[in-house]
Amino acid sequence: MLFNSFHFVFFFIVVTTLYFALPHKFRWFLLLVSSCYFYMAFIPVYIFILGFTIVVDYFAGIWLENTEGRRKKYFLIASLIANIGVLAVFKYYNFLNDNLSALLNSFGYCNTIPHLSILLPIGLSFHTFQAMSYTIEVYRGHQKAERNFGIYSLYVMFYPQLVAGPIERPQNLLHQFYEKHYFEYERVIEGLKMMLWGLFMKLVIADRLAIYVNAVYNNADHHTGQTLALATVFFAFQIYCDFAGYSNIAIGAAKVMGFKLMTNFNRPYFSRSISEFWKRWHISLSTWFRDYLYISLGGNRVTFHRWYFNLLIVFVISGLWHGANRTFIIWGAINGLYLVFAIVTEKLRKRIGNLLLLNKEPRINNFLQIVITFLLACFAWVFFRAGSGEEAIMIIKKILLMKGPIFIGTPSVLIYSFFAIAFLLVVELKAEYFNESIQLLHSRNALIRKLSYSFLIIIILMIGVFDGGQFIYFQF
Amino acid sequence: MLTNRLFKFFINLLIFFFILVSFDRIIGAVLKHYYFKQTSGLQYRTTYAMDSTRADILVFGSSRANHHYVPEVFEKKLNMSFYNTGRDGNFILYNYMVFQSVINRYNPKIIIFDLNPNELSYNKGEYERIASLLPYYQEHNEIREIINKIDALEKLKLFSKIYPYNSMFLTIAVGNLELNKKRKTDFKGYVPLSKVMTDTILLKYDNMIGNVDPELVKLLNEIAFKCNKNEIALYFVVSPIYMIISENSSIRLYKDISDKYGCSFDNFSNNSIFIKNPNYFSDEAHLNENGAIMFSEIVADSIALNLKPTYLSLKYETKQ
Repeated sequence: MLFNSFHFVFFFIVVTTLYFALPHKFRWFLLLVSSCYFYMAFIPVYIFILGFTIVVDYFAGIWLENTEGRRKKYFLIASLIANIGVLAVFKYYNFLNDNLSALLNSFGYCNTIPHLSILLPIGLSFHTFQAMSYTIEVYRGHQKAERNFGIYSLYVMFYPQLVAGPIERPQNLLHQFYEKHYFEYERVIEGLKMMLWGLFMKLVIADRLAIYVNAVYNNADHHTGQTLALATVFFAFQIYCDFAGYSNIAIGAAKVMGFKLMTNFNRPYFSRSISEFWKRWHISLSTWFRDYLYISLGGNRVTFHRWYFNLLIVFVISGLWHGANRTFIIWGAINGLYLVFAIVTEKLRKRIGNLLLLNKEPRINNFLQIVITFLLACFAWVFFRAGSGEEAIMIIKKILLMKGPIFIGTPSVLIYSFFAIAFLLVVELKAEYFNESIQLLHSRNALIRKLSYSFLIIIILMIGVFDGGQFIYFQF
Repeated sequence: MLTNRLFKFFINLLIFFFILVSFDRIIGAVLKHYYFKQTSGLQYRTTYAMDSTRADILVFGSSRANHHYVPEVFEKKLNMSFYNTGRDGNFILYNYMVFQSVINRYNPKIIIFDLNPNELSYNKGEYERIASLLPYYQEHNEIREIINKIDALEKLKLFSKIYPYNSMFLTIAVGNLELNKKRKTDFKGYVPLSKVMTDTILLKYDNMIGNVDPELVKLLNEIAFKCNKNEIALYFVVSPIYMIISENSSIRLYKDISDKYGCSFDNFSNNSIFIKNPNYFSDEAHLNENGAIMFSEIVADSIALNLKPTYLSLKYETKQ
């Protein structure tokens, strides 16, 4: 079930109404049943895969709590293998098989292992990572094993964040299922506002930009450098609004019912460095990798070379998490290299900044840093969006040459796209730098608030894309 | 306490809905007014085709219909009035609805229905494109029925008066500019393409295999049936395309339907006059003005001679 569908609107109204109407002790059951229904609206049979990881991790949690020493470690490893195994089969099997074929072919052998023709279960990487965070936290002793199978299932399946995050931690989410949530007017309104803004980001910005981006990227070899550069900038905003829009709807929907999910995006394109970018972009995944992989590898408390290696390996795996394709791995590696480069050149960059007197002009300095970070992110996005590594390189070459006119296509598509980006930038600029000045959605004046909600809905009705389809991150 | 909170919530919700619906109605009415005030452009041509034209010959189809049938040629050769209702990116479903609106008003003498070589294949986009006819939903019963059948939720969405004009704001604004009113891009619906396909494009072979959509087959049958019943001479035509296309399920079905209802069917997709002359094309799928004139003459002659266009096409090929 898509958040941007009428089906979801009905579902949300019915579930939320029942949630507040039911006595507290039955609410978890309602949420579990509705989450199952939500997931099964995609491809029903895949609920069994989810069921498998839930059963494995539920028992793993209890065993992990009841054992000590080596056996405890074995239980953790077994549970991680089961989770990663599901990912390996459903997400990476064909990718690994293709690479094996290429390797064997280069030695003159033929790979006879057949291909699997299965669809990737929606949101598999998200709920697998959420399940793994539970077993790891129980292993580390930060979380008690959940004894109620239904509550544990709900932790993995809670519908607002089931298919595209935020990837929650058991310490933040599990206890909330035991707490009684009342109908609080302010909180409900706040949640609905977040949902409305998320819907706006998806329908008015992301899906609108997708029209131009798809037209260009699907025929990249026929387009000029300037067109590809523009499409890449559009894609940067498209993917942000698509994913942040989803997260806002998810966090908002949970908030209406009284649940507090973690923030997933914090205006990432105002970052002044790639390191800051990753603290603002897909925060639930970045922190997952930081807490469970980067720190486990030693983090930055190791030799310089090992530190660089740790950063690179974490980002390469993060790239692979996004999809079974070399382009995602390259995208991850580029981001890792950015961070290594930033560490290596830190002193040099400071010296250059001083020479150019940028330290005396903090506003210009900040602006330049934001622009450079954005351009670096865009460069990496080319690999994320392109169909193959070769295509990405061809696109970058064309962009660097900047030859030829810009493809206009239907002018209204470009005009709406620029309007959408400008609208987003104004809203985010205000939130980033002028938070307390003009208030619209949060105005103290009830009429201004209501007019602002109406304005957003009217813009959605006027220029929102209603047949734009599913969210990009569902495929991960 | 809870009752108070709920009461406050519902009161505020009501006020908000009142404001929202008021704005929706006002803006929707303004958009509607200016949509139907347009005197040129794509949207105007649809309105004209559905509500005003009384031409003897009507052409239906997608962009290929719109750019391939030259009114002047038909009017001269057949001495009948002509209007081209073809619209870019709109196929059988759209054309069926426009056709319905037309025959509810009057019976044209001749209908030329231009079809793509694989138009009966299932295409999700075809159903999404019905959005271009949503402005006519309220006033046209025949369109209302079809749209409700395709998507039951559409009725609900159409509670909003802005929604039928979704993504049309700029087009409507431009369509109402004084400058644009004077600019006439079409000649009785026909929009000529001036570009000549200069790049050396290799002639592609395409089997165009796709799953036939039974709904579209049903609609095409209905068009043929209604023309037959109303004594409208119907010509199914696959106009030229710069591609070698093998006979596929769509083409076989066009033949079957035309045989069943006694209408004509002519397939120009592999016609050598056009395949051998890339200069007649603007791009792989569209003829330019010269190509369109050449093609219109062939079709008009065939109608004039009251011959099966299939034979005529053969005759022109042998002449070459």
